Amino acid sequence: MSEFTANGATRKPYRRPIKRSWWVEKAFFTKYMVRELTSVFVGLYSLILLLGLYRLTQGPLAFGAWLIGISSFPSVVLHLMILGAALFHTITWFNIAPQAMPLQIGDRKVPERPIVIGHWVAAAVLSLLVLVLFIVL
Amino acid sequence: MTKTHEPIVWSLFGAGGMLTAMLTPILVLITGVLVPIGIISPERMSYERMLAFAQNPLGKLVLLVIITLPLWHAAHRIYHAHHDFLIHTTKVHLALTYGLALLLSIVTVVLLLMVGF
Repeated sequence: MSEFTANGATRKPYRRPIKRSWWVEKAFFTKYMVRELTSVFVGLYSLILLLGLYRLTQGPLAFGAWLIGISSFPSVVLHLMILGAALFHTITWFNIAPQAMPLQIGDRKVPERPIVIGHWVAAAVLSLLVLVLFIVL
Repeated sequence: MTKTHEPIVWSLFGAGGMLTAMLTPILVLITGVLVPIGIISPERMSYERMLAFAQNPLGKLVLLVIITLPLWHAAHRIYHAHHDFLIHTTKVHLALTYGLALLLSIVTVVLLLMVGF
């Protein structure tokens, strides 16, 4: 593929050929790709909830049908897959948190481990809170 | 969209990523597994309870956040994954990812208003 430079001359830069399956060859790249693709499941879960909200606006019969739908065996299997994807996202998200949001106290850089553990503690507390609120309220 | 869309959508992606990391596992476990198989009583997710939750202003905010932020997160990752599969992205890809996230966010707001107060 040729390109135009600023003065209008054409140039043909060398592009190293890349196979579409480049991410299969190394475990690190495969993990990266799996992490990116967890978002498909995460997005799907939002669509399921959005459908539930839509059915809620239609009345008790429509919402009841949605509830029956999510109680079906295929739906539970699908949600277990979504759960697996979501957990993979959580692990990878927390692991890169120290690089994504480096913390500094005074002149000292906070080490990575406490930041990762802090995220897990926050997630555990929030999850427990959601579970308790869901059961009690 | 020009290059300037990146900071806005990146912050939505970041917020969505954090919310998803913190809360999506427990939400999926409750609504997709524990309630359907009856470990938590399906009564907890009855029409009356969910309607009351969706009509409460705080409940509306919770629903808005847990439905829309992960959509922006997914849109961002799916859009950029095209590049990883050596697919040149066009305006069509933008429309089908960020555009769809925007559209579904608007739909969520409309439904949250339609469900009443």
